[in-house]
Amino acid sequence: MRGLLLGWIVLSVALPAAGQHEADPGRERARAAGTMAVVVHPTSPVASLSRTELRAIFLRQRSTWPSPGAGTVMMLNWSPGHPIRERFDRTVLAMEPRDVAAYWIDRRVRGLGTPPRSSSSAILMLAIVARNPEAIAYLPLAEVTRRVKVLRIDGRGPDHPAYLLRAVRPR
Amino acid sequence: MTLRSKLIIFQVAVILVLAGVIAAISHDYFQRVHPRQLEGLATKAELCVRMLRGTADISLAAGDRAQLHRDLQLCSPTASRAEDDLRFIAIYDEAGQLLASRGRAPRAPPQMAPSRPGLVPADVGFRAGAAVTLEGKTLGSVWVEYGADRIAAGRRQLVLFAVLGLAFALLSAVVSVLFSFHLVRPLRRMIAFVHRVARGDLEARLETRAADELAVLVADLNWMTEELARSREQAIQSEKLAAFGQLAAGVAHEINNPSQFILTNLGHLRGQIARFAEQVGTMEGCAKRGETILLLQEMREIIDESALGFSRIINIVDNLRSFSHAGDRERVRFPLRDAVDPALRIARNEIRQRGQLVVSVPEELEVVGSPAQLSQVFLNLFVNAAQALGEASSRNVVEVRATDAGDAIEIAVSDTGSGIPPEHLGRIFDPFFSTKGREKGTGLGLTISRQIVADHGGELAVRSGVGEGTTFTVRLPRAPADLPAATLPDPPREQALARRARLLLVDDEPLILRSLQRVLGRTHEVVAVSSGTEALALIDPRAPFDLILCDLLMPAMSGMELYQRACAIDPTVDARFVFMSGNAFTEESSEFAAAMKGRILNKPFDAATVEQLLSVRLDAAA
Repeated sequence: MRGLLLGWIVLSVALPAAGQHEADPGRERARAAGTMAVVVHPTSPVASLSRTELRAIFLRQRSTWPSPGAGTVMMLNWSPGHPIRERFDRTVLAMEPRDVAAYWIDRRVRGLGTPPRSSSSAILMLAIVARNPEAIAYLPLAEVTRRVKVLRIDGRGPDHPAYLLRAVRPR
Repeated sequence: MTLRSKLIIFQVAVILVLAGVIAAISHDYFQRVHPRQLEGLATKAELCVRMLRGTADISLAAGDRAQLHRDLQLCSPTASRAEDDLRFIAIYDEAGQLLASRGRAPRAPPQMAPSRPGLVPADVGFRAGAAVTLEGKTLGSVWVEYGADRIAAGRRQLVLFAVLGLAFALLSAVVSVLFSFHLVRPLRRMIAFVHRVARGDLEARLETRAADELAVLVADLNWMTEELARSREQAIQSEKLAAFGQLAAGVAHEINNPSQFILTNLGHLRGQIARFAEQVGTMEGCAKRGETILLLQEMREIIDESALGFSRIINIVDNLRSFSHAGDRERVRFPLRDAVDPALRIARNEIRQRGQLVVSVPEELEVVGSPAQLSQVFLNLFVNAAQALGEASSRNVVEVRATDAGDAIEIAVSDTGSGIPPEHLGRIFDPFFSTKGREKGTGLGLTISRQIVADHGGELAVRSGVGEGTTFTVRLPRAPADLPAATLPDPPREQALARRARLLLVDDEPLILRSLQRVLGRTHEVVAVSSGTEALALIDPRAPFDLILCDLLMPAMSGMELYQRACAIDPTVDARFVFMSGNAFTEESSEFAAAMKGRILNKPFDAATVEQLLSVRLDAAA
């Protein structure tokens, strides 16, 4: 079992690095500074989520969609340490990334669940969201295609000046 | 325990040890190695499935086939290598459709519980499968199968090696047992042969066609048997010779006593006849005077011929005496020529009638021993050489060549005659072996010669080949410088003794006493007694004898005893004792004779010898 766990860890570290989107720190930071969009399947009845709802979903404190009949949520996160993930953690979850990591360790130790599956590929996330009506993910607005639907947060669309994940000046 | 059973036991032990080792290795393999190999394979399959399930979820959810292929490659990086046991790795969607695979994956997901890896039927590998889920939603399944072909191959190899090893050990055991038969059979033949030889069959021989160590052993055994036969033959020969020597000594003793009085009487008779003839010559007017003189003449011739015949008998007995080791043991240093020349004088004529004679004996060469005995040896060799030459021819040569060979002196007598055939060469020294025929030889010549040369510390060797002639080589030790040189014997005194002497004769043979008394009694006062006891009674210092002539061996009291007891009565008689000997053949008498050197008269002797002794004795007394 220890061997299996080790394999899992090695894999989860190696997979992002081995992915086709090679991380260039400057470029990734620039991507994270732009406007972010939370996307769902185009056929999803959900069109808007509050920041609280988003936070509950991404902290796995709620596993069903608010709208009736939408089923369980299939959420996709960005890999830990990625600038986009860090920005989302701070902005939406209002937590430092290390606190998020500690949160998930705590949950896992208590047997309350595992962290969401993460990826560093916007393309894959888009593909999954485009194929799965229950799926939800976030990514730079510039990379969003027509195959997915961009959600409003707290009733504000990405073009609203008070949009939660609007572009910020790169740090 | 026989060699063969030892070998079989050894072979069985080897097989058992080998079988034990093979069993231990197999046991370890099947108990430990093989299960771990299978377990390892199962673990590998399970790990691979879990890895794939962990990575393929996103690709499956995204429906990205290219990404699925990359996931497959990541989870089976070595699938293309020969040593990888991966049979297939495959990803199916929820509907059971094959999305991506490596290897020969089935088109539909296998129908088995996909939780744990399981043995694929027919024990050829492990298959593991798992459902792929993302956030609780089942997206499809992944399957992996690893083949146990390499493990099975290793297992088959081990079994093969074990079987081959046992078979080889068994084969080698069979071969070595067969070889042992091959080895033991000649050994048993040798044992049987040795037993035969031990039972006395020295004519037995082993045969072999092989050319190995056993053949060498066989050859050596044969050689040893031949040597044994030869040395036994030699032992028999020397036994024969020793027995013959004893017989000869006994015969010589028996013959010498009568010879003594025959010789004395013949000499006396001859003298009497001469005196009678003288008297008849002076008789005037005797009617039959002329007739009587003729008769006396004839009688004298008869006596002469008898004496000649008798001298031959004495000669033969003398020869026989050489075997008894009781001949005179005088050892003097003398020039070799003194032994060679007398022999040459006798044999020269016989050689010259047939061929040339070449003699090369340096004057300065000296040897030790008896000149008379060695002369006998040389005469023998010269006569043999002459007889070997056959018909007269200018190419015939007899060569006598003496050389100084350092520590020894070698005298080679060679002839250009017919040579000795090899089958005779081994027997020429045997007593009574002769090819010459009755009238030419007794067959004792070379036997006696070899005995004499051996007594002198030398050796007599022969080299001969048919048509090449023969060479006899006498090898004698060189004379040590401290030995006395031979003294020339005094010239015999012809004149009669000046005075009448007093003699005591002691001999148990009355005929000897009578004959000697008859001869000596004419000129001397002779007292004759037939026993030591009588003689001892006559020993009186007041009436001494000038000479006491005493037989050495007598019944009751021997000459030696008489001598000792007489000396006890009158010490002056010591110098006056002279002994007569038929043949001193007891050990004691031999020693005594050696001590009384020069005072022994060998029977038969003539009256003149006694006269000579008397004159020497009387001169010394005067």
